Amino acid sequence: MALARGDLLLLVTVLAAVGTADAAYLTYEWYAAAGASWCDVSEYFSCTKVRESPWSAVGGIPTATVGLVGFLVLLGLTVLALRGVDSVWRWSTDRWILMFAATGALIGLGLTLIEVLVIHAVCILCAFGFALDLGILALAVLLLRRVE
Amino acid sequence: MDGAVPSKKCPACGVSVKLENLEKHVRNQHPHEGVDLASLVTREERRVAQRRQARPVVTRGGLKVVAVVAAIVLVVFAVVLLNPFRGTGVNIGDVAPDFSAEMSTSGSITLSSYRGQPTLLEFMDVDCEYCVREAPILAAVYGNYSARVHFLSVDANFVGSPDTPSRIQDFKTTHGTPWVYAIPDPKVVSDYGVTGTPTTFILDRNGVVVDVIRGLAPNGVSTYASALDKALRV
Repeated sequence: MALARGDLLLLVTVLAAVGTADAAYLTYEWYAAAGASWCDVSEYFSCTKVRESPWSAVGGIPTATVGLVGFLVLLGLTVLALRGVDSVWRWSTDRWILMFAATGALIGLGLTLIEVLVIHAVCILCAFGFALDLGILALAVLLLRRVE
Repeated sequence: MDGAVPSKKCPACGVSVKLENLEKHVRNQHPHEGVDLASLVTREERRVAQRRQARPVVTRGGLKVVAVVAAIVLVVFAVVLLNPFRGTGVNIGDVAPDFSAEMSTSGSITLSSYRGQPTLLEFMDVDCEYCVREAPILAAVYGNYSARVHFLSVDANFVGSPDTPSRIQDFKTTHGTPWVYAIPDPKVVSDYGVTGTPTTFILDRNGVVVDVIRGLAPNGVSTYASALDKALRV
């Protein structure tokens, strides 16, 4: 079944909303957990282990906060697009969505590689956020291909 | 970018009418009023109305797909968040599983050899920031309770460089924590359900867990003091 542009935008909105909730929870836990374990399945799938690594924050800002901002921007863009706004500044909203989704996916890929190769632990909530962003990226590509 | 429905008052009757319907309204409702249809809607107003009409359509089938995807994503998110697959580990009321581990000095220690007196069993890591913060608190507790309570810290080796006996001895010297430190088999850490450090189990004289403190003790020394007092009363 071929999805209309509105359907694709609504899907992106849903994924971005869940991504926002995920990143907001991770940010909250980063500040509130104070060393307690959380979001842990095993020694390998451990958010605590990732959180205690120096990679969980850059310059004192949790990487989860960067994700939160990214998902919020994507959410805002899709809401604008659903309301009929075709362009923001000189780019189409679809292109902005693709740009932010691609940036988020690149950051997510980098952080996931660091988790696996450097920290030797995976934060499943972070991986979930990465998966959501990949989903948004795929939908953003479909959006642009429809226009072309 | 305004989401409000663009509308305008009809110059003939004063009723607020959607911009896209205004011409039709005047034509049909007020055909004899002589309203100039060309000047009814400005170019800017027409542009806004057209933009609104350009809103992407969400189809009925698409809505179903969105609903299914939303449900799946939310279920996955809830499962990840609530984490029903996490091992339960050792909880209050359980007998602490016995284990032997190499001490950081030399020789080995067996937990059950501490029976007969309460035990403070801490799972820590020398590279864990919160364990470093907790060390002076535990040192203060040790000062008050060492005559009546055994203290045992085991290094879970969760983060940072591999923890060796010499690194642990350095930690003890730096932070003034003179009690026994040991390096257990990783299975011990998983048997106790320890996924973050520090995690501290307070055992009574029979080895039964009376309290578990995960992360930094919320009230510092008094948290440990009340848990140890409870263990001493058993």
